[in-house]
Amino acid sequence: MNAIQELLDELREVAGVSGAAVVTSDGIMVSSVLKGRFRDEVVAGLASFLITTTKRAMGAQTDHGFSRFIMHATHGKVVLVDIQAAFLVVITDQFVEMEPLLGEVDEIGRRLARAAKLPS
Amino acid sequence: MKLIQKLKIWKELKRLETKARETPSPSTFVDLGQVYINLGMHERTLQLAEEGLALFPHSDELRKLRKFAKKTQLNNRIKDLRSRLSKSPHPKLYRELAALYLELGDFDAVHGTCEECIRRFPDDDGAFLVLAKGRLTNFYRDLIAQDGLEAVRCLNEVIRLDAANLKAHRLLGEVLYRAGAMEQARYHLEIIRDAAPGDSEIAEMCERSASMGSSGKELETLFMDIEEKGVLPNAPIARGVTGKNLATNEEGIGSIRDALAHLAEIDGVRKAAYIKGSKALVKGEIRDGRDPFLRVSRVVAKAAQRTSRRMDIGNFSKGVVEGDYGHICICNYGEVVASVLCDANSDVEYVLAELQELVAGSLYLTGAGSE
Repeated sequence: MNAIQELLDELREVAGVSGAAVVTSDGIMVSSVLKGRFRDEVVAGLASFLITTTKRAMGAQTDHGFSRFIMHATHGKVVLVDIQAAFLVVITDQFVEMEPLLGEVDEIGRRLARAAKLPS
Repeated sequence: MKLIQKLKIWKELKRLETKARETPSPSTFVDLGQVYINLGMHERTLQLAEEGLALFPHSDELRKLRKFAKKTQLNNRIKDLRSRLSKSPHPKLYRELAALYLELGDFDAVHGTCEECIRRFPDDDGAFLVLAKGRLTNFYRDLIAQDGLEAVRCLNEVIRLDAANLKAHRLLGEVLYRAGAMEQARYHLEIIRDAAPGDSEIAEMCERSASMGSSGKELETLFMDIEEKGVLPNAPIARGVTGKNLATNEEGIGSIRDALAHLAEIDGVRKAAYIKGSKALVKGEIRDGRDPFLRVSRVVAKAAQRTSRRMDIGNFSKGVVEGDYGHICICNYGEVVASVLCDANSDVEYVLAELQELVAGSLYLTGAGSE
């Protein structure tokens, strides 16, 4: 098992997390641990759509994209974190407490960014 | 040994019951609920969760406890129905089973059960009705065109099998009315009005559907428009606020402007905007309606809405985009978007709560809260 997969597995153990994935901004799934109804290709495609649309819209406002995007919906929450080479996507249920979760997500995000830099 | 264990549990139960009564809090209720669950007292767990929620309506733990107790209770009934169905299948049992799955929110199981019933009893309209109810629940929640169209198809099927099914006429009339298919809605609404002349809600829908006339659009186009815009054209009569809209209600606009000004005064907030359709109100460091921040808010809210629906996690309600520029906080409901650009060290939770307050208040004032 590679380092990225191990880190995603670690994230999946956090209470309320329904799945996590590392996706490139052009929609390529690098690695994932998704539960239940979430499918790899759907999550990768939608994350790519959201990342590119947001970055394009930001172009008018700033030269930079975004470092983190937290999205609340009726039946779940999604957190996107820029890990330089790709994005970490975390899907949770709607009841999850955001503050402790974001601490975990940021920590794993930092370790993923380091892992992505290391030669395999 | 078993007796001693039982006595210990009952002693603990008494202690927790007293604690919940004397110092009620979500955690004391949840602790007590846990003991009830361990003892297999699911009815009592549900009752306790309801009692707790009456005192602490916003407690997530108590909601989870109620959900768990409800699920366990329904699962027991489902098990019983399944075993009865395997012995002697009957449409009534299928309907009951599908209704339980619907209550649990397991739409795949609803679909499977109804399909099985339709295969065995093709002339039974009940399974189509349950299927339609499931689709309608999903449609009113997520506004996905496919759900709405499937609900209409199932309800038409019920009426084909039983032309006098008033429940189906009512559901069909209402969904067509709310989707803007006035001509088709009127036919079903008039049947209900004739059968129940005292129903003021139906009478008003009939009157409005006659006065508003047809949009000339195909049903598929109407439902696709709803999915695209994320809002139903017509509000339910009972909840609708008549005679007011953003363009004509000066009092409403004044209140929104005041709320926006309050948002712009929060520490760290640089820009604040309230957007409804093509119109926008702005406060803070925004020059005019051409400020790129408005476009960013619109595009990001729309992209997030599409993503959350396609990801099957319901409607996007709020979000925070973080970057070198600070935080962009967005709150979205139907075609209303309220957003703020603030410094990274701002109190984002407070800003989001104020944004939600602004959107909710404006929907009431403008009567736009159709879904």
